[in-house]
Amino acid sequence: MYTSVKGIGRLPAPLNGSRRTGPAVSSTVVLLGLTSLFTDISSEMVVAVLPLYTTVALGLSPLQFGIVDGVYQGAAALFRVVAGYTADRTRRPKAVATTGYLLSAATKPALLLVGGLAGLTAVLGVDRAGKGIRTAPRDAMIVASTPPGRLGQAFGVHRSMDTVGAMAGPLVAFAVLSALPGSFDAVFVTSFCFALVGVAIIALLVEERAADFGVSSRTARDSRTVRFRDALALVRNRDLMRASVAASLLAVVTISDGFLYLSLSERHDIPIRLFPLLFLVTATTYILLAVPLGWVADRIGRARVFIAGHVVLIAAYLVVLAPATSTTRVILALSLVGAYYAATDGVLSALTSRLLPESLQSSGLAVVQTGVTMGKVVAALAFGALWTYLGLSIAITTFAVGLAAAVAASCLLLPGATNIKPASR
Amino acid sequence: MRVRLVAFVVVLLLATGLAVGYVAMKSTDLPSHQGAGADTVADKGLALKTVLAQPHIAFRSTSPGPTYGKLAVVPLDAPRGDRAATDRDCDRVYAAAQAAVCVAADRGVLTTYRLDILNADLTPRTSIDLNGLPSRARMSSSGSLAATTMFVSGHSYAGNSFSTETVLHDVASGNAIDNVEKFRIVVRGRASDDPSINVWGVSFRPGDDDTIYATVAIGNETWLAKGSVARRELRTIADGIECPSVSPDGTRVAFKKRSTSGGTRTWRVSVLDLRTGASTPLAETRSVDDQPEWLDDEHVLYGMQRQNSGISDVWAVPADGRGEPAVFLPRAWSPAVVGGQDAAAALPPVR
Repeated sequence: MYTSVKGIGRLPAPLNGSRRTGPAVSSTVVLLGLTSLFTDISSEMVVAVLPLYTTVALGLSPLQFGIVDGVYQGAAALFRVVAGYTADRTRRPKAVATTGYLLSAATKPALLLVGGLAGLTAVLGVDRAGKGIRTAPRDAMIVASTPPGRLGQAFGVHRSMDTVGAMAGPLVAFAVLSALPGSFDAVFVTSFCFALVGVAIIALLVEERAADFGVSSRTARDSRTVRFRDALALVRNRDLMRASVAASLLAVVTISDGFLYLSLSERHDIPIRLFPLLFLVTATTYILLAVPLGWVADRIGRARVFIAGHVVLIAAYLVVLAPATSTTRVILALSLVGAYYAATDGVLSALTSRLLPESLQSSGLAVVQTGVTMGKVVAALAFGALWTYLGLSIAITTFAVGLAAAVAASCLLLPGATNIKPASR
Repeated sequence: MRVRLVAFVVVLLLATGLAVGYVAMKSTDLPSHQGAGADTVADKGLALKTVLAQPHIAFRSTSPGPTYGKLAVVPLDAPRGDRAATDRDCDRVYAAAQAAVCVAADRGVLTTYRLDILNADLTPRTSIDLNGLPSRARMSSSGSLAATTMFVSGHSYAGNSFSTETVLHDVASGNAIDNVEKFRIVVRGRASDDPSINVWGVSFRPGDDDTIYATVAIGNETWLAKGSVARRELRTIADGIECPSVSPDGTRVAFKKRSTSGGTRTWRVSVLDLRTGASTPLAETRSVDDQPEWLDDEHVLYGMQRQNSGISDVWAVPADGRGEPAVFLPRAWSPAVVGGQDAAAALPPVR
């Protein structure tokens, strides 16, 4: 089946869905979750106060906003793939991930020193690069320490801790600002401290070890290192490529959070000062559903849950489009988005990892994640353009229709999506 | 592993110590807002009291650094020189001889705004809560009335849909005394009861606490309206005029004229002669989305954002349409001229 990866290393032994040995979620996953929690508090603190820090409105149109965002995402994409390959080649995903966390942590003191907007955007760019570097190797570490039948659940745990951090970030930032009004330097110093703790957790407490699951110890010590051509050979892994295409197609027709909140505020007349609450609703739903949906994905098939998550997102768009306005609708739309995240973010990694040989986990995850990121770049530009030139209703409708088409395509592309029997891996 | 655990605990303690220590240190450094004002010695050593004692400009500083966003003053005859900054963060500033106002933010998970009413020496007098996001703030020249416009939805005039709330405040007591949008509004000779009317950019006629000029808008149409606070009435007198500002001699109104080209909204700063009805575009050809402020009877001030930057400058341009615009007060926003020509100047009889 995996002709393209012959000889690279033993593949994970096929496992039926009933093998669930070991602790449900290993300490590594929890520790990585804590790392993400602290790191997210750190970065979301800064993100929350940035509009205040550069307080006079730049007057960007939605299209310009999309362009700026897109440039960042695009720049980080290159780092992702290189970092993923490095992690596999050196068999040190922890080192690569830690580097990424360290890089992002270092940008926090830099914020204290930069003066103008150009310096600020450069610092933010480095932060994003750090994020790109660490994501795939970290996910590979989660895979390596989790029984294959529990991947959905493990990712659910990790992602929910991550999101708790994202929620706490703005709260901490504003707590600092209420204690010290106007003191953005205090926000940045505090952010740095949280980032330091995050780095310390992964650097000092997470153990780097060969994959516990899926490979015999003999192959774990296989001396044949991954070569670049092996990584390139991933392209010939048809299941992986199909999954990557499906995920990217879905990403291209996904409205970003920022635009979604703006859309909600336009359609449903939400005062700007309530914006932070919008995120709280989405995040809460995400946190509540991430582990259960991950568990469900382990049972009925990750591809199915992944696709179902996007169907939920279509429903969310329809609610946003609906003409009448009410608080219930807004909360419903936001909750549906949270459910979408819970059903897709970690599940995609779980799904992808099973299509990859153990020695190419980071590279493969990076490839798929990059595809998704590039898809989002296109989505941001497209949505911004549609909104600016054709209006909000047309923009949302186009994306809803596009998403439906992408869902249909994904049913064909994703392995296991339409099998009658639950996926055996 | 134990070594690592110990190392982690050390890092955790250091990080916590740094964060807590820094916050604690800053909170003893930072004078409270109550203390700010008369004693504040400022940016580069200019003493606040000295500047306030002479004709000056009150504004929001956009100098990058610790004074960014703070209320500051600068002598009228040396606007490019040193400034005296207070510790007060303001989004909008206006001042008259006896009092000043500052639209300030209470930052939190939900950020709300309030109107801080300040004494002549910029010490706080009282505060009123405001709804929405700041747009404009003006005072009457006597300092007894203030008018604020806030966006209750939307956040700029460049958007297609926004709703404003314009409130008159009594400066002495701090009470809101009227919602201008509830005035009797006469559009083109007929009283309008359209609930979607927006009013913004109130400007008081110098030396007069009753006569106001403002923008009245229904949908995409905008008018200059003139009104009376006592009679609670606004009447439109010219169309296509936004964000009026009355000249010190009371004969002209500076405003921004809207035009829509290629889908984007732009504004040209212009001056309307109230006696002749003639309107003259001024020499500034860039789009100005700001309520102009008169420096004196010959010059108009307005704010201009620098490209790709949080810094803005206040520019001046001759009011007769000739000459060229030039930066008047760098790194500033929301200027208010105090003690200039308008102070107790003899005015032509009220029309």
